Amino acid sequence: MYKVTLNSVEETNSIALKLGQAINGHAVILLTGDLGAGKTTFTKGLAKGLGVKEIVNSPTFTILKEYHSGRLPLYHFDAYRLEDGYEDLGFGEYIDSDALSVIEWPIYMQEDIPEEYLEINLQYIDEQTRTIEFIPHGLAYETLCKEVLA
Amino acid sequence: MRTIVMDTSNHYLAIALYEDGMLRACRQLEALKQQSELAIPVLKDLMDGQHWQMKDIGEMVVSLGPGSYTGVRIAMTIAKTLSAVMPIRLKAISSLAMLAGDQKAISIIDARGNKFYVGMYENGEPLMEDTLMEAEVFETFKNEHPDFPIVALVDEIPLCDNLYLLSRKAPYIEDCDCLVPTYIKGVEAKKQC
Repeated sequence: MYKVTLNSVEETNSIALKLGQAINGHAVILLTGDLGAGKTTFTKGLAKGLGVKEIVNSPTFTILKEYHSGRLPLYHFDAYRLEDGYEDLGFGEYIDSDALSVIEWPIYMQEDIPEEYLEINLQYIDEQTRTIEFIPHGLAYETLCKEVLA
Repeated sequence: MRTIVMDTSNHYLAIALYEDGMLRACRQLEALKQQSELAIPVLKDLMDGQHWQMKDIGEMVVSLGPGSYTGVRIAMTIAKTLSAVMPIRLKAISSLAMLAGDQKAISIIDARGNKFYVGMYENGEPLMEDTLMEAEVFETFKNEHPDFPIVALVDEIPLCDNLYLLSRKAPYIEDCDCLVPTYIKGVEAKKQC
């Protein structure tokens, strides 16, 4: 588990960019944190690191947005609106594929979360400041964290 | 009787035209994530080649799944739409039965997360309900039935021939609007029709 304090938007973007650049195949990232903590901002940095050209914004209404202009497809989920439960929507097939899947509010999509993933928890300290915890689940994600954060 | 047969339930697109038991035209190709783009153009191409028109079609046979979330819906949606606007009757056959054809076999389809969809068939009849098994459970199951060859989804399987053959014994769907794919999961959300 790695904990980092970020003192500006630029620092957040920088670390997200590095992480995005380090991803080259199937990967699953769970983003947790309160409203306004910076989950979508972090995802924009990941997308940039992946080479995505399109504008990345919040999938709260759409639940899933796909971006295909990067090195890998980026599937950006926001399960916030699934709080009351959902029939199988076929998300598992997206998440298992050779793509980066980023999931906000994963608690409402638990059946589709695989065994190995990187959990990133963002905490709002004040307007400029966040702390981020990186919690890898699985060897591949431990290696990824070491590579990006050490 | 002119029949369209179509399977899109997994990673193939398989379409064929039959008339009174005779195969007239057929195409089977790997088409993962492209079935929705290709299904209608390929169907049209096959029908044009036979100078068939939609008004000449009496029935359509599709696979029911299990398989890919979107795949199990494509052929079925095409079939349901056609049957809603034309006097075309429908039949639907399990994808696991489709793999076995009329052989004695245990058929398997890869389900994600180290699991398989498994069916057990002989002479076109199911010996158990199509089911979802963890890989280890399947290994045990397989060893309990050494006299059943395992059949997986590969190029050599004549998907349309198998569907057509099995459909000869299958009933017509009475309420086509209520036809839904088989989508075997741990807990199913069933729609009431």
